[in-house]
Amino acid sequence: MAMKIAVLEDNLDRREAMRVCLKDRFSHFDLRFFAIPKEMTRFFDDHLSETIAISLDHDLDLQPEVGRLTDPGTGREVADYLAGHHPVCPVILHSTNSLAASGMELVLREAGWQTFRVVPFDDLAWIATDWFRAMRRAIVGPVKKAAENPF
Amino acid sequence: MRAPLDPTPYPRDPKSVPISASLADGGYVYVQDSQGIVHVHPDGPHLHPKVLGGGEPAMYAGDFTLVDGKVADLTNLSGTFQCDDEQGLRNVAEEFRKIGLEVEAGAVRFFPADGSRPVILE
Repeated sequence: MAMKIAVLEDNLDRREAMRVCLKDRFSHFDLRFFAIPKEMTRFFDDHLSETIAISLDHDLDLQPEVGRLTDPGTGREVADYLAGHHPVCPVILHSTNSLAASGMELVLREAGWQTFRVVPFDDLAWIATDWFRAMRRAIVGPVKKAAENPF
Repeated sequence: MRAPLDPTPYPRDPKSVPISASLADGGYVYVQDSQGIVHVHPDGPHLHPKVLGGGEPAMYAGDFTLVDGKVADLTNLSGTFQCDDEQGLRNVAEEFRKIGLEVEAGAVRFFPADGSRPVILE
């Protein structure tokens, strides 16, 4: 069964840039994007143990729902969910909201999750550079310790 | 030999060089040519087809990280060539050692084509 890469990101341009980067190196993994935290945690209810890397944004745009806009919540909800589970893989935090990202980082680390921080810059330029490097570290790095760490 | 999935005959990137023991620390992509020579390029997006260029096939391809002059990780990760045999990766590690690069214990990490959990080969 293919391991999953799960990304909380609602911006379509960012998603496409991430998809292109991951296809270049990690095409054999099952890539899942989410725009709504609840949908992501529902996915994790069934697939968390098959997940090899997670990337979370914090601030999310309002979502259209039956003629109105609803608040989807934030990446913090996913961080809180993960903090209630045994760590299975590293988590990348890719948010310009540094205060909120610090809060997510704290709650995840206290629960034993390994985290990487990536600060978006220059529109999409950060995705092929900082984010992709963090993603590679998140996926390739833990393999070394497979026999001895929780991943 | 594996043909690149992106058949565009890109010119060989001028930063692509045969591997040597004098490489600076950092991340690299690599492509092993039909003669068994490993060519490397500083890591970046969609570089594998430009390491040899011209739409040339590869004996093997992937990426690696050099830390303190030693190979900290060596993989078969390449969406362009998608090499999926373990022995091929072991052979690349042996080529690294032949030219004088130390490959750390646990550095050779194989990613199965079916997307299952990666494993350490050596």
